[in-house]
Amino acid sequence: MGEFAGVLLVFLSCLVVTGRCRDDTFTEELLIRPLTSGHIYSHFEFTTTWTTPEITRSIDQYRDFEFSHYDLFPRAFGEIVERYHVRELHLSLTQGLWRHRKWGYPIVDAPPGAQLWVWFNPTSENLDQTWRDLVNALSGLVCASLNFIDSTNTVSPELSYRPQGLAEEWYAGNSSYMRYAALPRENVCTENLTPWKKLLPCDTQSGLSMLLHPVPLYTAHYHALSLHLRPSCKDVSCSSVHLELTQALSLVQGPTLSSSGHQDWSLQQLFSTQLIYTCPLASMSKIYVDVTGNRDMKKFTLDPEPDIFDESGSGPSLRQLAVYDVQAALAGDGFNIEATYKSRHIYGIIPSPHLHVSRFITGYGQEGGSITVKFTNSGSTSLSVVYLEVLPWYLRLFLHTSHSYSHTKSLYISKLVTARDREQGWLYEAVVEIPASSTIELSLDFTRALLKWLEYPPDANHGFYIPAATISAVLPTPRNVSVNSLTCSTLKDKLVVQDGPSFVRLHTETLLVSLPTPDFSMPYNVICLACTVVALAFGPIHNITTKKLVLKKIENKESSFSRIVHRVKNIFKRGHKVENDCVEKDATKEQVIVEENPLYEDREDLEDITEEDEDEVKTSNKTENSQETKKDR
Amino acid sequence: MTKLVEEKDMAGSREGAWAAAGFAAVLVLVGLPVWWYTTTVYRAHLPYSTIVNLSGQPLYHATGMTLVGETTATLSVELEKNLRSMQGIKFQISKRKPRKEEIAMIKSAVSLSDLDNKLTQIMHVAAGTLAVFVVHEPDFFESNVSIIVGRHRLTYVKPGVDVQLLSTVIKSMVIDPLANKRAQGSKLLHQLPGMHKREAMRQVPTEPGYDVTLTLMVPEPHRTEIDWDAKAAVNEYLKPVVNQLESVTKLIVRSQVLYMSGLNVSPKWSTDHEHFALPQDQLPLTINAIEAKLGSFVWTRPSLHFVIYIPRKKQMPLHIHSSDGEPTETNSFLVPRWGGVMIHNIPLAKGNASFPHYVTLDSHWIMSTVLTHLHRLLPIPSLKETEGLKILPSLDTCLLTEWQLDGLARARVSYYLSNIHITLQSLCELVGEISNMVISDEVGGWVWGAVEEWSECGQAAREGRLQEATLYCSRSFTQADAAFFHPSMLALLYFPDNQKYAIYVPLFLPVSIPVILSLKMVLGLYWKPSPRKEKVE
Repeated sequence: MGEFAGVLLVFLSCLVVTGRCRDDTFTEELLIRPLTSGHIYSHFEFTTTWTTPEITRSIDQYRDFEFSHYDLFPRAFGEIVERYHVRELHLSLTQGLWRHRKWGYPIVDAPPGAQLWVWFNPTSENLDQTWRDLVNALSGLVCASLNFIDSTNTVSPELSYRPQGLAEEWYAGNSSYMRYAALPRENVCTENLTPWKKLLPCDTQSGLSMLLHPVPLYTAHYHALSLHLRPSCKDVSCSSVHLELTQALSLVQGPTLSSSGHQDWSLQQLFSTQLIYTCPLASMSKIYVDVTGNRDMKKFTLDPEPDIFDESGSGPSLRQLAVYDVQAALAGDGFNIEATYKSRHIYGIIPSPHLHVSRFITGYGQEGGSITVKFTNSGSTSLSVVYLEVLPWYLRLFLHTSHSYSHTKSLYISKLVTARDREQGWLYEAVVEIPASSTIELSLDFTRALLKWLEYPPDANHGFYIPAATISAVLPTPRNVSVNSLTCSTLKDKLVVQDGPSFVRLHTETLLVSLPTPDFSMPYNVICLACTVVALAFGPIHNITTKKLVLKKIENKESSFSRIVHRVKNIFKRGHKVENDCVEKDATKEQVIVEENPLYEDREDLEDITEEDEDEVKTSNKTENSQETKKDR
Repeated sequence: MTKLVEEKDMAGSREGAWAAAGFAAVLVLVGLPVWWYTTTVYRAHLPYSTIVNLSGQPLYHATGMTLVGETTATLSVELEKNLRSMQGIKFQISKRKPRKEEIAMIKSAVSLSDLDNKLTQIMHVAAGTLAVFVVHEPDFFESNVSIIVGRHRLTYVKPGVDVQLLSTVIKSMVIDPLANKRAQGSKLLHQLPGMHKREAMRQVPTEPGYDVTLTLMVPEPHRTEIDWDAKAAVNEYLKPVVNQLESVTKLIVRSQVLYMSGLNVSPKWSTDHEHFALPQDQLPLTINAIEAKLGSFVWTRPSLHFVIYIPRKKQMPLHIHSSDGEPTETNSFLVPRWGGVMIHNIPLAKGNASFPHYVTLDSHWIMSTVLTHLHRLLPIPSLKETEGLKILPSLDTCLLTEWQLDGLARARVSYYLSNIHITLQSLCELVGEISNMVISDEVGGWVWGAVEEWSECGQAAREGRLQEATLYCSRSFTQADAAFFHPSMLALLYFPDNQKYAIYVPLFLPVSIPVILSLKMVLGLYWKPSPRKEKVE
C-alpha cells in the first residue's frame, strides 16, 4: 500500500512539474581530467534510461524485451535488442592504446579495435546462430566490420566478463549465455561516429554532442566509442529497475602545451567548437573538471568559475570535481571553459598504478614463438588476477610448457578451450596470484600453422593481429581508479569512488604475428609447371610404349639430281676426309636405325634422312677409294 | 616404303597399338571423369518443365455469388452477361429462393443494419463469396436508392434494380480494379491513363508482412513538448484493423519520436490563406532528410512509414497546397510504396508563455489519416456512394468489411501468382545463361517447394478457396524469393575463364595430341591386319 502511494506521489509530482510523466530519461555528462603526462582525458557519457512495466517484467523474468513505442530510446538499436534476445550488450570501438602506467585506469577500459560482449536471455533458439545474426545487424548499425566475428574468434569466458547489470547468481555464473569477441584490426573513423551519434535523441544539433566534431576526435591519441546496454537499478535500494543505454566516448588528446610550456586548455581548443545550445530533452547536462589536488586553484584556474565543487572520499579515494551545469550556464552565447596554469608543466616520474600489465611476442623467425605477459604489482599485498587470452586457431599453443611455474605462487586455469582448425579459437583463462611489489612473467609458447591459400588476408605480409588479453582484478585501494561502483547510472555517481576494494578490468596491447606467407602466385606457377613436367614426361613414355625401334636396310637409290649434289659435296668434303676417317669406317659397318613412326603421314622426311645417311656412306666409300688411290700413288 | 611396312615386325606393331589404345582408355575412363568431377558446377535438379507448364496456367479467381430472392430470370442472365467481361475473375452465379426464416427475418427486421447482422448469422455466406439479396419491401430503401451494400458479404437490391449498376458495384467489390490490372501484367499498366497509373503504382509490393512505423517528428522540442500516447492510439485505432488483416497479411506496428530533425521544406507565406503554403511539387523531396533515421537493421520486410510532422514555429501554420493553389483538405500526402506524411499544426504559444509549451495531439485525426493512407497503399477495394447506391456505414469506422478483406486477399493472391511466376522464370533464365552458377540442394529444395505451392495456390484460386490460396501463395512466394536471393547463387558468377584455360592448356594439349593421333594406329588394329595376316601366314 505504501509502495502504491509512493508511486502515485511520483506520478503526481511529475504531472505537476512537467505536465506529463516520461518513462524514459536522458542525461549527458562530460568529464575532463588533465593527466599528469600533460594529456587531457575527456569522457562523454550519454545515458538513456527507460522503464515501463513490460521492461521491468522482462528484466525480472529474464525474458526478451518487447518495445513497440519508442521515445528517447533509439529504435534502430531497440529493434536489435528485441529481436536477438539481448539482455546486456557492450560494444566498444577504439583507436589507440590506453596507457595505464601514465594515465591510470579509465572509466571504461577498451582494447584497441572492436570488442563486443553480450549476455543473452535464456532462449530456446540456437544461441550461436543468434550471435551470428546479431553481429551482422550490429555491423550494419555502427558501420563496423563486426560481421567478421565468427565461431573462430568467439568465446564464452567463465570469469572475466560477468554481467555488469542486474543478474542473479544462477544466470551470472552460466557463461553459456554470453559471447565475447574482439576484432583487433578494426579501424575506427567518422563512419562509426555518425551512426553512433544518430542514436542520441538530440543527434548533434544541440547539447554536449555538439562538441563531437570529427577532426579533433580522430587526431587524438586515444579514442574509444562505446555502447553499453544493461538492466540496472533505478536507485540505491534497488526497489525498481530500468534499462540503461550508455553511449560513451573517451578521448585522450596530445599535450596541449602552449609555447610557454603551460598545460592550458579550453573546450574550444580541445573540440574546435563551443557549446551553443543545450539539448532540451536532457534532464541533466553537466561538465565536470577533475580538480583533485587543485581544490584551492593553485595549479590552474578555471574560467568561468564552476557552479559548485564536489568533494568525495579521502586518501586514495579523494576526488574533487568542479561541476558546471550547462543548462543553467548557457544563456544565448556560447559556453567555453578555460583552464590556465600557473607554472610550466614538468614531466616528472609518474607514480605507477597498482597493477600494470604488458604483453609482447618473443621468439624469432617464423617457426616458434611465445606470448609473454608481464604483471607488475606495485602494491604491498599480493593480488589475484584473472587473465584471459583469446587466440586464433592458427597459433598452436604448447600447453605442457605453458606458464612456467617458477615465479608464480599459484596458477589455476579456470577455463580452457582448445582450438579446432578453422572452427574454434583458443580460450585460456587463468587465475594468477602476483606477490606484493614484484613482477612476474608468464609465457605461452606457440608454433604457427600454415594457412590455406585463400585464408590469407589481402595484405598477408602485414601480419595477423592477436586480440588484447583481458586482466580483471580487484585492487585493494582505489588509487588511480576512475570508477569503482558499477551500480550507478550517471557519471556523477560513478565518479564518487568508494573506499576499499575496487574492481578493474584492463586490456593489454594487441600483438602482430607474422605467419609463414607464401608467394601468392605460387599455386598458379606450380600448376603450370607441374602440368608442363607431366606433359614432357608423357611424350617419351607414350612414344616408347607405343612405338618400336626396328632395323632398316640401307638401299642405294640415286637419282640423277642427287648424283650431281653428291659430287659437289665430295669436292667440299675432301679436305676433311683424313680426320673423319675412322668414324666413317665405323659408319660403313653400321646399319642405320630408323624409328618407325606412325605419326608421319608420308615417309618422305624419313626417307630424306635415310638418303642422307646413305649418301654419307657412299661418300665415305668414295673417299676410301680415293685414299687407296693416293696410297697407290 | 612399302617394303619397310612389310618388313615391320607385326607383333611389335600390335603391341604398340594396344599400348596406344590403353593410353586412350585410361584417358577416357580415368582422366575424363576426374576432370568432370573436379570442375563440374553442382546443380540440383530444378523443375524447369513444371515451371514452364505452370507459367501457362490460367490466372483467375472463381467467385461464387448467390442470388437470393424472387426475381425474374432476366436479372441473373443479364448479370452473368455483364460480369463475364471481367478479367481475372470468373463468377459462378447460383440462384435460389429465400428460405422461410429469411423471409420472416425481413419482415421482423427494424432497420437494414439490424437485418444485415441477423441475416449474415443465418445465411453463412462463405469466405470468398458474395450474396445478392432481392428485398421486396421498399421500406428499407430510401428513395433513389436501389442497391445497399452490407457490412459483411451481403448486398441488398430492389427488384427492379439497374443491372448495369449492380454489376459495376459487384466488380469493384470483388477486387480493386487497379490492383487487378496491375496483377494481370505490367503491359496493361502502361496502357492506363496517367492518373490511374500513378494510383496503381502507389500500392506497396505484395509481401507476407509489413513493418508499420509511426514517426512523430518534433523539430523543436525546446519550444513544444508533445503529449501523444502512441500506444493508446495504436491500440484503439490500428490494432483492430491489424487483427482483421491477420489472415491476409501481417502488420507489425511500431512508433517512435524523432527530435531535432525536420522536413527539409521551404514553404512560402500565402497571404490569401493566412498560412504557410507547401506546394505539391516540393513533397517528394521532404522525406529524403529523415530517411536515414527510419531504416531497420533487423527486418527485411518492406516498411510503411507514417510521419506526423509538427512544423517549426516559424513555419506555423503549414498547409499543403495542391497544384491548383488551394490548400488540401487532409493536410497530408501519400508517398507511393513508402507511406504517408501528415502535417499536424499545433496552436501557437502565447507571446509571454514559458517554454516548453505543452500540446496534446489529435489522435483521431492522425489515426484516421493513417488508416486512409493504409487503405490506399494496400489494394483494399472501396466503393463510393453514388446515385442509387448506398453503403451501410460500419459500426466502427476504421474496421474493414468482409467483402473488402476478400477483395484484398484476391488482389494479393493475383500479385503473388504473377510475382512467383516472374521470380521462378527469371531464376530459370539466369541459370540457363550463367553456366557456372551453383545450385545447392537448399536452393533446389526451395524451388521445388515454391513450385509445388504455386500450383496448389493457382488451383485453390481457380476453385475459389481464397484463404488456402493466400496461405499457399505466401509460402510459395517466400520460398521463391529465398531461392532467388540466396547468396550461393552469386558465388561463382565472376570466376575468370582465362585462369581455367591457363591450367588446362599446358596439361591437356601436350597429353591429348599424341593420344588422339595414335588412335590411327589403334584403328589400324582392326582395319589393316586382315590382308597383312594373310601375307604373314
